[in-house]
Amino acid sequence: MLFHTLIRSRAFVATSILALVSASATVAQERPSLNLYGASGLIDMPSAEMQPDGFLTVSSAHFGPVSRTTLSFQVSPRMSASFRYLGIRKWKDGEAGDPSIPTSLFDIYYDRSFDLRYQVMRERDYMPAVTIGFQDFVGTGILSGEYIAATKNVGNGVKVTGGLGWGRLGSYGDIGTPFGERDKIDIGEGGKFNFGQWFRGPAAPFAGVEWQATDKLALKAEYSSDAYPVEAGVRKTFDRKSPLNFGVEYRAYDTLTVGGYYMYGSEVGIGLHFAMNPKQRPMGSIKDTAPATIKPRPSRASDPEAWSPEWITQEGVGPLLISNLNKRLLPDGLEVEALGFTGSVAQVRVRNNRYDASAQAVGRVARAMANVMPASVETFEIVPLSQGMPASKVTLRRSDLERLEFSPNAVAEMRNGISITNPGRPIAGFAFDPDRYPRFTWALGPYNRIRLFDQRAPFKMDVGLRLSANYELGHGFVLSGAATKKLAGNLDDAPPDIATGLQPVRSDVDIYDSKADPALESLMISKYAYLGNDVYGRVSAGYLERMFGGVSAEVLYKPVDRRWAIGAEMNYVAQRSVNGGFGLAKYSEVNGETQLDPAGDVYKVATGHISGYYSFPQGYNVQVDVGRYLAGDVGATLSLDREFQNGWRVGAFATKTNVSEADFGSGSFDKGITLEIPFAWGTGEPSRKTAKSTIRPFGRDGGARLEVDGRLYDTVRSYDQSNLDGQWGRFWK
Amino acid sequence: MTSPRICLTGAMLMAAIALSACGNDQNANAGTNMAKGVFQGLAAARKAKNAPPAPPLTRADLAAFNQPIIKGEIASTGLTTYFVPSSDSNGVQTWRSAANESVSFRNGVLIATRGFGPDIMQSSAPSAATLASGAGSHDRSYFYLDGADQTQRIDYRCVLSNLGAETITVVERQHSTRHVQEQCSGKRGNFTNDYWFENGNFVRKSNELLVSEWGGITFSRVIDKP
Repeated sequence: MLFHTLIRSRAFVATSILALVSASATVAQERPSLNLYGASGLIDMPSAEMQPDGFLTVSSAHFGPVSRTTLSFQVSPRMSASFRYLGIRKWKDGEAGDPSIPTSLFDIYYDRSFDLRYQVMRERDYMPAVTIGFQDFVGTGILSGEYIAATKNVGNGVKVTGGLGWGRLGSYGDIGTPFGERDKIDIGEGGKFNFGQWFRGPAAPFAGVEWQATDKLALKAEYSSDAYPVEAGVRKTFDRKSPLNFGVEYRAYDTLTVGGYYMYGSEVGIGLHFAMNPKQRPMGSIKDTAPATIKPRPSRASDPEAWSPEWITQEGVGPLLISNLNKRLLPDGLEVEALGFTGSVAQVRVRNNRYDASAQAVGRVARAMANVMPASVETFEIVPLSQGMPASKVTLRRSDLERLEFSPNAVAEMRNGISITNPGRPIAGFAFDPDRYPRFTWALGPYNRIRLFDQRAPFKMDVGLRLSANYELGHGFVLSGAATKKLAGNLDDAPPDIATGLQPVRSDVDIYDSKADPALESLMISKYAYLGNDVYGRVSAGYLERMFGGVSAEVLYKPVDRRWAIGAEMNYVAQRSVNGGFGLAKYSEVNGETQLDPAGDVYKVATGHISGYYSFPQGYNVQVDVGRYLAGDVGATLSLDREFQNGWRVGAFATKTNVSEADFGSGSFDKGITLEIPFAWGTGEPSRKTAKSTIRPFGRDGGARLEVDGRLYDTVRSYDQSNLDGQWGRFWK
Repeated sequence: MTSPRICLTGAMLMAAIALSACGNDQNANAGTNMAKGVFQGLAAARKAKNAPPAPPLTRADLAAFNQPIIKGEIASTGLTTYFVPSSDSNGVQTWRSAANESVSFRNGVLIATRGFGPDIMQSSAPSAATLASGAGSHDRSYFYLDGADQTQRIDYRCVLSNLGAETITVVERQHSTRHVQEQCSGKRGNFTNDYWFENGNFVRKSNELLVSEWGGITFSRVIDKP
């Protein structure tokens, strides 16, 4: 039954809205229009076109009872993927007087779906572009359809599309069943790949034409091969009178297109299509204060005294140099924490609170050193700190800085002269600045918490205040915590609880959402350390996240000049009380169902993973985690993402564990998409802050991982060779 | 469904809170500060629109600073700013504004900028003597960073022409100059730089390309010596 898929589902989303809506400036690039499924195409039908590489689009489309919101990503020049949220109103309209139609609990049918499209042939002189598409290929199947489409520009702003569809795209005016019968939709818990259906069943042609009448105005007409058999036929949510659709679209801004449509001879529709180019900041190059210029040393002949290494014997010279460096660096959000030196080499360890591009942080430190260090120092070793750990070492020659600052080839020549290695050992005379620790930082600001796709509403949100604080006891030794107080919102409207065969390690999040207020989100002590030989370590203990507390330990082997890394994490945690306090929750099993019970037992679990990381040269990252998850299930997670030089990441993940599909519930296995948006992309000013979101179509208990802060890979990787090189031009900014 | 009223209340609350975030951890409040920046920017823009334009600084005003001053104007953005000497090394003079923008000249010819955003990161430019000759042609290259922090090199072919003697006024004072024009063309379009030379090779005034989207900056050397 279709409404089966309505069973509880939700997602956890962080605060990304601000960054998403901030993209107002230009996306001056030719790009195909989108259809009402948020894919490149006509109106309801797809075309063979692709968006420009890397583009991210959000479409909101509505006609009659149908609403679709789609996030699409151009994964590579030829491949695009979409995630969609669908709502169909009047879902009960067909039930009256027809007992054969299953009774729906809800007026609105909600569903989620994923698409994947691959362009097998690009448009050439006499050949059209050809694309094969899979719509709703891993969902419940209500939108399932496959197609092959061809599109050709025929001149005068006119392009013509023709195609053949299967599944729901083959439901009207079919020409037979070329590849055999289509398996019946076996929803089960949904969320599985429906291999058995692809390109099976009746196939029907579709076609359409788009005319770019002016720069901003386009007219579209199409013949749809979608009969809407369930929506129009069974459920009678609208009257499909004709296969013809018509539309007019207006590109109000480079980023925004609005469309009006006449659909299926009976309904009007509207579409809003929003496009972003993660590759390029809308405002172009970062705007930052001008750096200090480099003061060249006097020549050795003209001032031999200045070049004498005698200074190293002076009392208190180390703290004095640190203080002089920090006078220049603190306004830039950089801070030297330790210095070591010989007559000719100086090594600094520096904290970067500001620069998204690690190369710019290194460049600014190099400039400050060139202006502060005595003339005998020729070699600068800059060691960026991340969570107090040295993350890499950039070694450069001072004479290169002096020689190249205004050279046209400064970027490449400077890069040729440096080496990026592991942090190595501190050099002679190395000493930490005693004034740096302990240090206390705090912030009181707003938070929001969003729950997507619960069975009552697609979007719920709380807003409130979060107090967070960090007390750094020493290098990489941090006591941190955060507490929240809700001010407004509707997350306490929890959906009805639905039992699973597992400990509710994540599915009870709605109970925490509604009862934990005020809430202690986290309170933990962490120690980070570079253990030598490219190995980093972390130990954390306390209230690690909203739902779990305990201990977590991690080691990571990550050579700075390699594209791979391997790590291991072990945690022993207990599930926290749902009221957001210091206690632990207790559970007992009733009729095979795990429920909160004050007389029950605390849930404790040992969970951990071995993780492998690889980043391919074009910014495609792969991560594989194998291990034991929070519910005690064993399995693996595969994560893929595309990362742009400016820090944007768009990815997807899937976890398969030994939990049965029935025990997992809706969705069958854990999967989702991830977005990470650097604030610097939206503001055009340097910042290390990013907004991260994870959207899960179904947030369940199988394949759930502990969410502990400060995992090592993301902590140290921003200073490795490939990240420094990716934004190397910023060295001179 | 979520009621629109709740959403609206939420949004208003967020806005109210956004203006009152506090703490000493800048990164933690980055989002709030960003929103605050937008609000303040809008408020300032509205205020600026309604306020009468500030009177231009007079020579006497500028002389009071007691140091050399270059006046910079960007026509496309309406920005007027004043630069004072910051450093002189390897034959490059860098001047800095109060807003932390900097411009670097080799013998009076702009070769790099910082602090504007779309900065000239590096460039190869003709010498002042070549430009002052007012004849012949040469190549220019500019290096910018794009929105992905990748270096973009843009090459131009330029031709010089001598437009003859001109008397110009730089903040109340007249100067007898020779006007030389540099017309450059390349794959990314064309631009024209203007130079007004005084006493041979001294650039009294110039209009030089910053970036094609913004056009040029006009530099007027108002005060040479304190």
